[in-house]
Amino acid sequence: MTNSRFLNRRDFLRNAACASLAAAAGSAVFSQMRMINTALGASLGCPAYPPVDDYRALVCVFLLGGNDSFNLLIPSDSTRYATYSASRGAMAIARDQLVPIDVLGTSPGQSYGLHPNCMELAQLFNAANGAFVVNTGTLLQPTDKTQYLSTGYPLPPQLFSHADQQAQWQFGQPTANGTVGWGGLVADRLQVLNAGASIPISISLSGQNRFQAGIDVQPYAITSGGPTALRGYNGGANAAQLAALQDLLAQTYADPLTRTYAATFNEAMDYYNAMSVALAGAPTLSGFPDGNALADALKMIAQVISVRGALQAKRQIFFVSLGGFDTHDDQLDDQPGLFTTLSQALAAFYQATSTLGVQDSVTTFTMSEFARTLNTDGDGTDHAWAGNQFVMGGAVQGQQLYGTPAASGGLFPDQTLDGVDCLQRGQMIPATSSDQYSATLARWLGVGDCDLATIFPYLERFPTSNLGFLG
Amino acid sequence: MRPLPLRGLRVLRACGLWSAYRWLRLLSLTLALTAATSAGASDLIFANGFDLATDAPGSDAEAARFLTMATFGPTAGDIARLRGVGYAQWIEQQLSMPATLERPYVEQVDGIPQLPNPGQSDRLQMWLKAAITAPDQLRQRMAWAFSQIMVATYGQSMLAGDPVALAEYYDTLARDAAGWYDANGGYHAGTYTNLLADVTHSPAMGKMLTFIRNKAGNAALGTYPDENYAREVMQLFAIGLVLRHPDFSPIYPSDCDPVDPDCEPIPTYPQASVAAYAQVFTGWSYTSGFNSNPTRSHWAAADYQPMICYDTYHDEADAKTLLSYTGNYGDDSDAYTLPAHNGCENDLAQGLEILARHPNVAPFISRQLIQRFTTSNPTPAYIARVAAVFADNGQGIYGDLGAVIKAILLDPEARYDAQSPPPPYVFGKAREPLLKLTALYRYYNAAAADGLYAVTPGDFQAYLQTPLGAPSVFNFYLPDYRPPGELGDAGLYGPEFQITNESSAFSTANDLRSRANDYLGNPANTNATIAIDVRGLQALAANPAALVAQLDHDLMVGAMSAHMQTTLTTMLAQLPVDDPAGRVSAALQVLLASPEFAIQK
Repeated sequence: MTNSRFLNRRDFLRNAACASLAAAAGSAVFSQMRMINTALGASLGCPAYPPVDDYRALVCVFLLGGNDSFNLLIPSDSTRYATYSASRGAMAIARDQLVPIDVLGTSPGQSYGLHPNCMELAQLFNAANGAFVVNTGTLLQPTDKTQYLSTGYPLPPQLFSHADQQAQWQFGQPTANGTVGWGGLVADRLQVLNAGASIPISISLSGQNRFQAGIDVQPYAITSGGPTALRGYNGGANAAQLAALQDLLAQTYADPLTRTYAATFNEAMDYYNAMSVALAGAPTLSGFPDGNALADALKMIAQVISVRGALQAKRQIFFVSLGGFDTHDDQLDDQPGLFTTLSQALAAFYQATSTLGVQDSVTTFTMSEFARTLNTDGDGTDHAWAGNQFVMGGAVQGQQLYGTPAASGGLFPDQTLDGVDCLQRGQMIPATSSDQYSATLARWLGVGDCDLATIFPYLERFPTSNLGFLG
Repeated sequence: MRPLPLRGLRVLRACGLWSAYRWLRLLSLTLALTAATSAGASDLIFANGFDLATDAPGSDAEAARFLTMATFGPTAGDIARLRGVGYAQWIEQQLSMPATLERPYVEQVDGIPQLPNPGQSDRLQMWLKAAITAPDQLRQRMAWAFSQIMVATYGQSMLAGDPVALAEYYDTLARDAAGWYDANGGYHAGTYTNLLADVTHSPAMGKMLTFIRNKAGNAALGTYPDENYAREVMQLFAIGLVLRHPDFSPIYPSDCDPVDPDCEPIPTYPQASVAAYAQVFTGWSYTSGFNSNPTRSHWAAADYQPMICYDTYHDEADAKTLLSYTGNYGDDSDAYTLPAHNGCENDLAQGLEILARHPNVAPFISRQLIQRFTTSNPTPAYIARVAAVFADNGQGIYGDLGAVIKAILLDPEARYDAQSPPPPYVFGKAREPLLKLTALYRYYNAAAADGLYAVTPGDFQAYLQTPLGAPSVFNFYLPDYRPPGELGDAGLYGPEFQITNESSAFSTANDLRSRANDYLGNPANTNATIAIDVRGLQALAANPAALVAQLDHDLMVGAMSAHMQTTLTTMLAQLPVDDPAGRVSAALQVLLASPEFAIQK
C-alpha cells in the first residue's frame, strides 16, 4: 500500500508512547488513568476489512451547549401538545406555529410538528430523507426513573456537565478517561480502505475534537475556506527558509511536547498539498445561505466530497460544531436563529450532495451533549439529559422516529413534569443510549460487529446495536 | 489571627455571629497583608541600595527562562533588573505595583462621554499595549491566567457590544491578582476569596453566565432560578467535579478500588447543590435598577459598578443545602446549609465563603495556575506545595494569590530541577500561541508611529486566542485536555495543544512571519504599523552565527539546540549579505515557527 507518511509517523509515535507507558505503569498517580487505549488500538482478533468500491461518508454536526431539541420536535396532537405546553410554560412554541411533519407509522391520533424555523428540516423529513432518533442520551445500561433515583445505580458520571457529556457523546465509553472518540476508533480501522490516500480519513472543520481522535489516525483540520496555506516558504526566493524549516521538522526531539508540536506541523505540511491540489478541481456549489457559519463549513465538506476520487477516499468522517445552544437566557430570542442556521445549512448540504450524486453515500447526523429542562428558569432553560437527534441522507429510512420506547410506553416520552419519563424540571431520562445511535452510524460506514463491540463495550447491555434508521 | 476552620462557621452562623466573624477575619487579613507589604517595601529599598541579591539568576539565560514564565516575554531591561535584585525581590516589586488598567484607555480612546462608541478592538489594543509595555508584568500575566479560569467572553450573551464592561472585568482580575487601593485609600487584599466575590458581583459575569436579573422561582408560573452560574462557578471557578487531595489526586469512595472501571471519584456536589446555589444567585442586577438592561456600549457609569441585590427578587423562602466538603449528601449529610430568610447579601457572602473554603479550591486553582505559568504536568508534590501556600501563606491568610504565584514560580520543580521530574512527568508546556507574539513584541520594543497598538479581534483569530474572546466559558482549551497520541497515551495533559491543529499551526506561523517583517525602517510601514526594532539584529546579519546566538538569547532563553543553531546559520549564509533586514526576517520567520520555540521548558 502506498500509504502516506502519516501512518509511518504514527507508528513511530506509538512506539515512543509505548516507552512512556512502560514508565507510566510504575506510577501510582497514573494508575487511575485506565490504559484503555492499548486495548482499543488493535482490532483484537477482528476480521480485516477487504477493499471496497463504493464511497460512504459520515458528517457529524455537533450542537455545542445542549440543544433544546424538545422544542425542535414537538407532539402536536391536542392531548400531548397540552402536556408539552403545560410543562414548557413560557418556552412552549404555539401549536399553530408548528411546521407539520408526516410521520410514518404513528399511532392513531398522534401527530408531530417541528419548530417554525425548521421548515427545511420538515421538508427533508417529509421527503423521507430525514428521521429523528428520539429521547436519546448517555447511559451505562438501561435506566428508568426508579433506578435513576436509587442509590448506587450505575449512571454516566457528571450528567449535566457540558464538557463531560460532550466527551461521552463523542466516545462510546462514558466512564473512560482517555483521549479518543468513537469516530477516531472507527477511523483507525477504516483508514485502510482509503488505499493510496495521502490525507486522513477524518477531516475536521472545527479543529481538535474528541469525536475524531483515534489511536493511530487523527483528523486533518481545515477551515471553511479550505486548508490553511503556509506562507513564506514557496518558490526560489524562499528555498533556504523552506529547507531550514523542513530540517527542523525532520528532527527527532528528546522532549515529547516538542515532538507533539512537530508532528502536527509536519502533518499540516504533508496534507496541504494533496488537499489543495484536489480542491482545485472542485466544482462551484451553489444554494448555500450567506452569513451561516455551519453552511460555510458544510459547503467545504461538500467540496471535499466532490474530489473524493482525487483524494483516493472511499470512506470519510467529517466533524463540524456549531455553538450557542446553551440557552439559559433569552431562549425565545435566540432559538429561532439557531434553528434557522441549522435547518438551512443542513438542507443546502443535502441539496449539494444530491447535485454531486452522492446523497445516498453521505449520512449527516446531529449530536449535542444534552437537551434542556422542559420548564424555564424565567427566560431560558437549564441543563438536562436525553434529547432528539436528526439524521439525514438518502440512506436514511426517513420520515420515521426511531429509538426504544420510554417507560410510559410510547417511543416519544411523556412530557409530564416529574412524570414517569422525566425528573422534576423535565430532564428526560434516555430510553435509547447514545452508543446505540453511534453504533448504528458506525455500522453503516462499514465497521463490523466484532469491532463495534470493542469500540462500544457497553452496547451489549442494550437490546439492539442497530436502531434501524440506516436499514 | 488564624482564620477559623470552616467547621466553626456553622456554629458561628447558628449563634448569629457570622458577620462579626467575617468582619474580624477581613480585618486580620488586611492588617497582615499591609504588614507584609511594608516589610517588602523596606527590603526593596535595602536591596536597591547596597545589598546583593542572594537569589539572582546566574546568567541571562536563567533570567530569561524565568521571565518567559512570569511575564509576556523577557526584555533586555528586565533581564538586567532581575539579575540585579534576584527572584524574590523582583516578584515583590512586581506585585507591589498598581495594576495597569484597560477601562480608562478604552473609554478615553473613544472620547466617552462625548462619543461613546468603543469597540472590542479598543479593548484589545489596550490588552496588547499592556502586554508589551505595562510595568506590572506579573500582575498582568496573573490577570491573563485568571481570565482563562473565570472566563467571560464577548462571544456570548450579548457581551460583544460591551467592551467597557469587559475591560472593567479584566481590570477586576488585574486588581485582585495582587491587591489594590480604592479611591478612598482602602486596601483590598489580593485573595482568592476577594477575587471570587468580585467576579460574582461583576455585571459582565452576570451577563456572561446569565444570572443578572435572575429571579426567585415561582411555583405558580412553574419557573426555577437559572442554574448557569451556580454550576459553572463550582465546576470551573472553584472546586471542579470530584473531590481532590491537596496534591490534586482524586478521592475515591472507601468501598471501591480505583482500578475497577466502575469505581468513580466522589463527586463534589449533586444536582441539588446546583439548584440551591441557583437560589443563592437570585436578586442581583445593575445598580441602576433590577430591570435595567443596558445594551451595547451605552451603559450608564453606574451600571459598571458591582451588582447589587434586590430583595424582592431573591429566593428567601427555602433553606439552601449547599456543599458537603466530604461529598456526603445522604441522610447524615454534613453539608453547609443557609437558613431561610437569611437575607440576600448574607446568602451570597456566606454561600461564596463556603465555596471558597472548600478543600478542593487550593489544589484545583493551584494546579490550573501552574499550568498557565510553568508546566502542563506538575508533579503531585509540586501541586501540594503550592496548595499548602494557598491554604496558608505562612501568616494564616487563605488564598493569598501573590504568595501562590511566588510559590509557583520559585518552586524547585520550576527553577532548579526542571529537566528531571520523575517519569512520566515532563516539565514544560506548549507556549500559548498568543504569547509567541508578545515575546517577539516585547524583546524588540514593538511600537507604532501613531502610538497605538492597532489590532482587531480578527487579528488574534490566527492564534485561536483572543483575550476575553474564548468560544465559551470553557476557555480556549481545557486544563484536562490530553492530546491524542504520545502525550495522551502516557496520561499527560497539554491544554494548549487543544488549539494546535494543522490549520492553526500555519495561521499562527503566518501571522508571526508577517509581524516579524514589520520591522522599524521597513518602507512599507504606515503610521499604524506595529514595528519591531531589530536594528541590533540587523547589525549582526553579516555574521550568521552571531545573529543566531543573539536570537537564542533574545527569544529562546539560550536553550536553542546546537542543531537548530547550525540549521539557521546555514540558511542565513545562503541569503544575500547585502540585505540584512531580509536575513533577520528570514531567521525570525523560521525560529517563530519552529518546534523548539513552540515549547517553553
